[in-house]
Amino acid sequence: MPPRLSVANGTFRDPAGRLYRDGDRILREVHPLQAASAVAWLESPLARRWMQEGRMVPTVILSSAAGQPSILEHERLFFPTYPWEWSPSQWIAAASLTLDLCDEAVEEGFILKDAAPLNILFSGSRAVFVDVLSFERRDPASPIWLAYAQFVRTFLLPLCAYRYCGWPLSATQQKRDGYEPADLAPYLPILLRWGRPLRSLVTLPLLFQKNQRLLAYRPRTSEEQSTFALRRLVRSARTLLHSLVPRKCNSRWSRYTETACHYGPVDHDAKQSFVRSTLRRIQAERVLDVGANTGVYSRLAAESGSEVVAWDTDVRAIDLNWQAAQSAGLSILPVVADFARPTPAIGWQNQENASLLDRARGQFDCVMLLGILHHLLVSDQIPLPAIIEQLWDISKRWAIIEWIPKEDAQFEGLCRGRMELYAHMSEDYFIQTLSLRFAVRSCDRLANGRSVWLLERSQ
Amino acid sequence: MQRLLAGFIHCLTGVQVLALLFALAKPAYAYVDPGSGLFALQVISTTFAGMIFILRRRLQTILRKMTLRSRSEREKASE
Repeated sequence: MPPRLSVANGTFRDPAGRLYRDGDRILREVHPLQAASAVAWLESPLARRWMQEGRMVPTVILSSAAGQPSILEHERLFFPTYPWEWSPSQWIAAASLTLDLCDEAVEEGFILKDAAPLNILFSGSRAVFVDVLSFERRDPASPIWLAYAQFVRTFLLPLCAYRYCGWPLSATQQKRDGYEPADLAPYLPILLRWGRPLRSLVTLPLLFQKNQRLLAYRPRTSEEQSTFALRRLVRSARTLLHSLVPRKCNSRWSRYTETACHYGPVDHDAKQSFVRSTLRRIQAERVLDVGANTGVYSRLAAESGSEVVAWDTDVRAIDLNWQAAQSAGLSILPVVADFARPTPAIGWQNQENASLLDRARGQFDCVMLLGILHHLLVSDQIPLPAIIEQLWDISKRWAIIEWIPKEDAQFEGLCRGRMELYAHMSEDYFIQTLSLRFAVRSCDRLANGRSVWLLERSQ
Repeated sequence: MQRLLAGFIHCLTGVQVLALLFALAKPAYAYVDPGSGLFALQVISTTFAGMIFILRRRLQTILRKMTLRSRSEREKASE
């Protein structure tokens, strides 16, 4: 029986090589036919500079012999995320990095042959290019960037759909190869389609898509002329990208911290002081902030020296969290993710892109669930024992959790008259449930009736 | 209506006028390769970039010759 193509053997889409995990190591095998050019590229001054600057993932050549596959080892980036879990600003940062690298590569005689968001990961708030085999020597006489159409389909058209049609960026989970202009055209007003940037991204491409004369034409020019044309194309792609920056608008949760009337300044200070002192005491290397909102507690954790991953369902709140982390240079990776409905595993054999929980399990020294428990219990209708079980599953040791009593105005508001369903939800029940999986180490009671707990995981 | 049409024409750049001319003659095929329209647009804008490149070169050469000529005339006059 022929061997079964399995994702367990590593990635398989790129014929030039495969990426696979060996324990904690991330290795890449490069096909013998491509090995020499890949090694030459990685040893080029440009690739080395990008690795030093942290714009391309640091890579070491472990073995390279003529006629043999080369083996590369990449530095492992903590907590991989997928484009369907990014906020618009993260998309724009990833697209900008792709264009910057392509522009510099053109100048040095290389070209980017694969320009998709899946080639980018985030290390904290910083975008990093990870598919090191995506660069090759370019044909000096060709002024065509073959991956341009892929860049538009996978970066610009999803951003376009988000800005003009309101289609969520998370929908790209089902669009590995992005959108076609024809996918968007029926949903765009005709006048808008003739304005910038839609006429270059949707209207004109639609007009030309069946013109065989154009599609068969391969212009040849001098090297100087091709460099000029390619750099001009990258520049125009950058202009199109900047015109797709979403309009600033508030969402349901993006102004929550400033407007939360159930928290007085004293409550805020007490809660922040407890979380800050606890994080300093437990010295957690990696922290997961569930329901992070705009990242007030993510920043507290990052300032205490932790590497933070922040989950929230609100795209705008995640966007603000990312922007704040980016400008302060904090190690925070905001992710559009739902604790109650985690991103599923998708792709070939449902294994190509790991689920959110598979990526999170056992990765975090501390998991924070602040101001979210009542949403999980009431809005998402997840039973308390199941929430505690999932918390136990993700955390390696610590958990910081905020208890919201059923008498709390926000709890009552979410219940909308179904209070009898939560009659059993007392603090005693809370302690009894969490004691099955955790031990209580400390607790701080706030003036508004809520309380914050430090829990330690039972083995 | 005329003002609207004039505004519409004004908002098109040279690349897009060229692109529209290319688009007028097209055979109809049912199957379309992914990204083919975007590729075709790139071919047009590259052709346009090539024209700009050549034009700039010619202008630079003319300007250089004019500068050299005026400098030599000035030198002759000073002698």
